[in-house]
Amino acid sequence: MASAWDAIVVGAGVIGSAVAYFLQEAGLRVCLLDRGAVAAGTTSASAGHTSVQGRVPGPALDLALANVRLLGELKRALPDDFEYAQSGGLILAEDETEYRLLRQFTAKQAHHAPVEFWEAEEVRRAEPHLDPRRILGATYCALDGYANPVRLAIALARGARARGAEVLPHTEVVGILTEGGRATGVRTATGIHRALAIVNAAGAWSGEIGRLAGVAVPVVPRKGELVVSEPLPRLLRCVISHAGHIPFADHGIEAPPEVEGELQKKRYLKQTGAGGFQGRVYVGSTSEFRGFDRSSTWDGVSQLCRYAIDTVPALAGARLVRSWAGLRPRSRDGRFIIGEAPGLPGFWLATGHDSIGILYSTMTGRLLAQWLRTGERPALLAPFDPARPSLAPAAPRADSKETDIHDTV
Amino acid sequence: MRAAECVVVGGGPAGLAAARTAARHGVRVTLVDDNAELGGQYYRQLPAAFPGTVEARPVREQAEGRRLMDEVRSLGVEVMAGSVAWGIFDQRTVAVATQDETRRIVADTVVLAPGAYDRPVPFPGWTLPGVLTAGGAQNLMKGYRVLPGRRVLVVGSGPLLLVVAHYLLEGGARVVALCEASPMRNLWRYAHRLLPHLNFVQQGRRYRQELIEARVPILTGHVILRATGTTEVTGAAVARCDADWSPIPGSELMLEADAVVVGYGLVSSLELSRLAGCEHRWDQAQGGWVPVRDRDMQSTVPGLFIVGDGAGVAGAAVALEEGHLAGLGVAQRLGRLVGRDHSAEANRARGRLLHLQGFRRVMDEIFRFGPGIYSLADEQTTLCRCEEVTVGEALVAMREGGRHVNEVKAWTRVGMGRCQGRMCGPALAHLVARETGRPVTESGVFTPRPPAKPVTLAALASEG
Amino acid sequence: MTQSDLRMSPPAARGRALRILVDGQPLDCHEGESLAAALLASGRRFTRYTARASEPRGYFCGMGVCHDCLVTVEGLPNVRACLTPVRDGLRVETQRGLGEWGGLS
Repeated sequence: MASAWDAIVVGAGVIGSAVAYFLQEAGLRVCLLDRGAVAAGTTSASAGHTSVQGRVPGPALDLALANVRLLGELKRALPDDFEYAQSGGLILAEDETEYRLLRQFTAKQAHHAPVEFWEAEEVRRAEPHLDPRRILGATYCALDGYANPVRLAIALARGARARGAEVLPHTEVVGILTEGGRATGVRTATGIHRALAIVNAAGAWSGEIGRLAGVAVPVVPRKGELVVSEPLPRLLRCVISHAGHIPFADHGIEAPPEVEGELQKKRYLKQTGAGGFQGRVYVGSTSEFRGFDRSSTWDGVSQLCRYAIDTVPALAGARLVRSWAGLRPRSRDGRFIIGEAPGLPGFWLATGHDSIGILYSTMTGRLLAQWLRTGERPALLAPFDPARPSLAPAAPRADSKETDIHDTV
Repeated sequence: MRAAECVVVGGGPAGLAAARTAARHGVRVTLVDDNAELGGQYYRQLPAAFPGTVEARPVREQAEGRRLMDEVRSLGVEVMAGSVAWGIFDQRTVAVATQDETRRIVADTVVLAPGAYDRPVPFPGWTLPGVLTAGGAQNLMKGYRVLPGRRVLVVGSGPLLLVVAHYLLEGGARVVALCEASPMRNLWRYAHRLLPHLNFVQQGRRYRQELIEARVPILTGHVILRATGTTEVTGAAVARCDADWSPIPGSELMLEADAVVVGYGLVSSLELSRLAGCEHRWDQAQGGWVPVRDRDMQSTVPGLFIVGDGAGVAGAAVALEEGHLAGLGVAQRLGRLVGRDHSAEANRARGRLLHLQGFRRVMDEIFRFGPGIYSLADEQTTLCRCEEVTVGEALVAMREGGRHVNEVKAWTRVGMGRCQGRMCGPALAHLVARETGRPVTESGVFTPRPPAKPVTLAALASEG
Repeated sequence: MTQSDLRMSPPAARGRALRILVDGQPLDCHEGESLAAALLASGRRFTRYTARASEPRGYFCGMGVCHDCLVTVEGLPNVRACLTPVRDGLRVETQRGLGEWGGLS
């Protein structure tokens, strides 16, 4: 059975669902496929953060702010609630060096984004359950927050379907069809689907899909563990993270190496206040490259709990209900890969979103739709060119180096 | 981290028996139980603060349990009460939490005896205060000498219902009716198989006689349809059912009650055996998953034994014998019992077990689990009690592609609450099977993750 | 024993008499009883109202598995009544939704 589409999107996580939604909105006939259910991959493991305050002014910050605006638009436009909350985000300064750096950072960033510096007293008033002994100050951004990642993907997939897209869960792609050097369709267990464009939005598994097309997609899984508490009365309002999350060097601020932490040291916690997830404190994360392993480890769980209690002492007596791990799709140089695959026209990539897929799903979808509709690459997508040298096999891996798309989770 | 020769998880009959046998053969045993008092459910004791007067005389199994616990302690078994085994790493490293810290015990051998819990059956009104499980009613009456109500309806299936009704009558409550789902017909066909187990049969007949004399209506082939009431239960509707426990339309009967005790069997607690990576198989008669074991009670993870109701519900007598067998297996594995001696004693134990299992098999046939029980819930019925998700919401997720319980969980939050999917898991699996038209074995199970029970962050953050 | 006392054995066969406070009201009970047993013995079925639908919930499984019998004890929310022994003067509150730190009193 062969069917013809304008675009087939492989992978119904938050990225694929967003791409399907915006492509369908742009007037293309779209088929969204996934070997599991919608959001069954990394999306369902995500903490759902939508943070902009650390982004570097210029294209990076512009893109981040555009995502936030678009999330707001989608909140109004989509009938399904995805529990988006602009709760505010706090980045804590826990020693003199961090205090100095965050003040410098705020002074610069405030020209470009609604970022403020709060002294210790102000932080204590806003978040009385944070251990005040460890906090000298913090930067605050009112635009930061979180959404429910699964609900967002579902809302987008349903939105796409409402506009005429076909959504086929439990439909595994087992082959990519090519003809005359162009991608022309996909093969599944039940038949063949032809399309003018195939979009690989398979996240941590985009390498597998790429291989089916004979295209090297340099994305590997970066494992992160998370834990969640039982529902608790109000402890936190903002998303809490730490100075190590800011890429000071990229902001033109000289910082000692121990502050610009390794990927491994990035932690955060927050308590959900919106919708059905009320009251649960999420704590993350860790960072390891262990293939597709998704086990919870003693080290991961105990370190996250230690961190949580150190930051919010009242959590000591709260109980953990679940631990899990997600696989962030990390590209060779740590930046997204969005565009037509070099060497195989018709085969498009929308992947490599690492830890920030929830926020960036929206503009990924809109800009890719714009590109496919007009034939011209939007300027904001220039940094994500699949053909860039830093993605080549010979290029050094940026496993722990900072890049301009910064990793806040 | 510490090392141990044998860690036994669970201080009910099976765990106590395993600890005793292993200790008798010179194994150093650490017994872990999350309650402050050992005994599990079956050997639940009266509170220590209750004086030993005639009125507060413990029942037979409480005395039996007391003796076993005393012997276990006298054999030098290290008892960690009030300690939750929440994870198993690297096959046999057991993580145990108290309120404030975790101890990781690298064990040469592990015996899991986690027991079972009441099968949760969603039906309209099942969340009303005053609706409680048979196990919950037993704990209340045996453990604290408190009645769940004055006019109590008992519904479910299996011999445990008779025991519950007995305690209710003893406490002066009125048993409004006892509704047994199984048809209980042609029991004469089992007579020859029950002959070797006359003590059990006679006990059952005594309980039944007691109900008859108290003029308690015994309705066989009946299931509950719904519990009624606004802030607490005030009654229930019951109806006739077929052999699969599906209600038959047009046979509804309304009954008034101030408490409804529900006991449609038990399900094994498999969180730890799954975390440890043991293989499991579907047991049709029990209507649930059980761990795969060899004749020494060893699971598919070498050196890890699973015994008692946590390996398939079979009651206390079987649990004691299985625990004993596992204790022998532990002793042999650690070189405290040589091959021939182990075989001789193990064969004797297996012989007794075979005898006991003969009775269990008859029980399993007479009270065969009926999947129709999962058709009681309608779309408004709460499926996930913790997260307050209805059957209807779960069905939406299934109709839009959720084919596995984990997919429905991600969409709807079913199974994400404090009970970690224990109350909703079995029903959800059947719901998925019905909606997708596939056998319940393909619905999947919630991915096992630590902690196996909710544990404080303090306990997880510190290693002791 | 009052009319609504569902205890199966007389006071002499139970632990020492204690008094706890439930939503500010005194409740007589006995040492050794669980909070759930003490509440149920007085005919008190529900311990909380749920977060989403404000449904009353109470004792269900009796063994700490279902987490429905949650109450706020001494200002700490989410305590399972079936696993908590009574103590003289214990302050217990019906929990609404997520509960409150420090309870209501």
